[in-house]
Amino acid sequence: MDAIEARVRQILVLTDGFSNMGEDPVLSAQKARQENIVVNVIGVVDKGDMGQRGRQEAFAIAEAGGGMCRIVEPVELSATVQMLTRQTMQMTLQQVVDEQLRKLIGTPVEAMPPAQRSQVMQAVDRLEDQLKLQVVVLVDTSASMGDKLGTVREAIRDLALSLQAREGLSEVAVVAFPGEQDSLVRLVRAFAPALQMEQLNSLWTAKGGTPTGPAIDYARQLLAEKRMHRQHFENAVKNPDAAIGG
Amino acid sequence: MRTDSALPPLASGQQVCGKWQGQCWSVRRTLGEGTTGRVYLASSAGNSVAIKVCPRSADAALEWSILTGVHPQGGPLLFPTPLWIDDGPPVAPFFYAMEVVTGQPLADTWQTAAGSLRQGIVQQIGAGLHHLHQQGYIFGDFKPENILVDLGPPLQVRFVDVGGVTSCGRSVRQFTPQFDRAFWGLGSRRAEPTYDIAAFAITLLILETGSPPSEIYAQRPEQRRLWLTRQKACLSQSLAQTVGQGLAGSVSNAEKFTALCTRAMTGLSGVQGMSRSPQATALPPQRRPFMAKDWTEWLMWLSLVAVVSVTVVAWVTIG
Repeated sequence: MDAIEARVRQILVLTDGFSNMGEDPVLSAQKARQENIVVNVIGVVDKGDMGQRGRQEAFAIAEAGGGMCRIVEPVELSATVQMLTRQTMQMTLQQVVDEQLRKLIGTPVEAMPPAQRSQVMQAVDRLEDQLKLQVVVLVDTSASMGDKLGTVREAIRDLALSLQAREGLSEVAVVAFPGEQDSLVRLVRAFAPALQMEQLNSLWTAKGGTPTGPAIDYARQLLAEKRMHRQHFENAVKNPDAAIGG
Repeated sequence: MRTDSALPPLASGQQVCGKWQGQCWSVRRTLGEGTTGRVYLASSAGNSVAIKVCPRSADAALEWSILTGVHPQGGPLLFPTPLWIDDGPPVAPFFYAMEVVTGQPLADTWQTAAGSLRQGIVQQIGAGLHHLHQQGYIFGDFKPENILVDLGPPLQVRFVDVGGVTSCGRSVRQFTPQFDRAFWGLGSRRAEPTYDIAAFAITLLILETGSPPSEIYAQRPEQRRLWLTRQKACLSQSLAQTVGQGLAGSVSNAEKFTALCTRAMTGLSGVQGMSRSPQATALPPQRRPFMAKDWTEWLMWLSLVAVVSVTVVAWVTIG
């Protein structure tokens, strides 16, 4: 199964409201999905709700991005971040396995008797730990997030810790939106396997709106650059002459 | 693809019919709720089973494979005995049935149990963990809610929720922050016996001294550890030292850790007065031989008891 070699690419949006700047985030999430990137959304609420509009948008982004959405209190954030990352990783993998099974024996996993399905899942679970993973975490840094950013920082650190314990290579990038001085986004931390906490210390609130759509587009771009870089590298390894010539 | 995987809870009297086995079970009540689904008590023709209903097929399938994998051949009964797996759409899209485990969550029984019973509980937990570790698994989501105690007699300790059970060497599948050593900055989330032992140590600390405040989630691990240090100061010195060893990962055998715990608990209630000098107890646990410490403590108690009884006897005889 060549497809298993493929990496899983995810975008995780952490917000407490709805977007009010730039492109429609649902459209951006749709584009991401077409590029095989899964978009998950976590709404962080502090005693109360994030409002009908924010809630609807959060679920719509996840739906369009082929991911999942949860609305949680800060206390649950860390566990939720990891659960969503893991479950969507499993989902992506299961889709690949489903496809392969359909090709091989003509039935999807769900049509199998549950005891057999359980054996397939065991194999999927083993593969999940070995997969390569790239996650871009998008952090809403608009004013209302102020008192939640401490928890967000710890949740990201915690995610990196969990991912480091996996067998497969995991890389996490962190982006704040809005950025500073009229910029829509700010790269807080580029892709790297090990997390330097100091980099996250610059996660502070910024003046401006909530450009969720542009932030998702930026994350897509980061993931695309990463991919191009890798392809170029692999071509160079497979075919050094061509790579040098081109 | 579903974006919200929550299922409405099943009501008492609702029927769950297995598509593959063709058997119907009537829901009695909810037994518990986990990360991946709810567990209900269900019955049919006088038989009772516990059924776990999951919205995601992957969760039910994976948990079933773990449950059957850890089911002991000859060892102590730990997790519920797996019975069968089936699909029951639409009310219970994916579910599996297991034995109904009796008992109350550890947090409740701990408060009512006397000293010797507490030692028995700790011993059984340790033996269970040790057996699991020898099979190549770790518990992962070790916490008071996932340990059911039947005070009996005979005393019986059982584990529930296989959601966190992970093969050694991999990343821990499911955990609860307070009981997770990485949350406190005390190690990785790699599945190894010391991971469970640290959770066991934190559990003892929390059972004896209370839960951390919610602000702790926004703090950095260094700050969080200050709470651990403060709480340890409320324990007897020997128990604080043992808990410290469990947290530090310096004991990698669950049975050995249990032996240290029961020894530290012997003859002492876990919590001592808060009047101890904080400086003396806030120090990091020192690696000192246990025998020496326990021996001196025993001697102290013994002499105290002797002095009291001699006084009493003297009073009585003089009177």
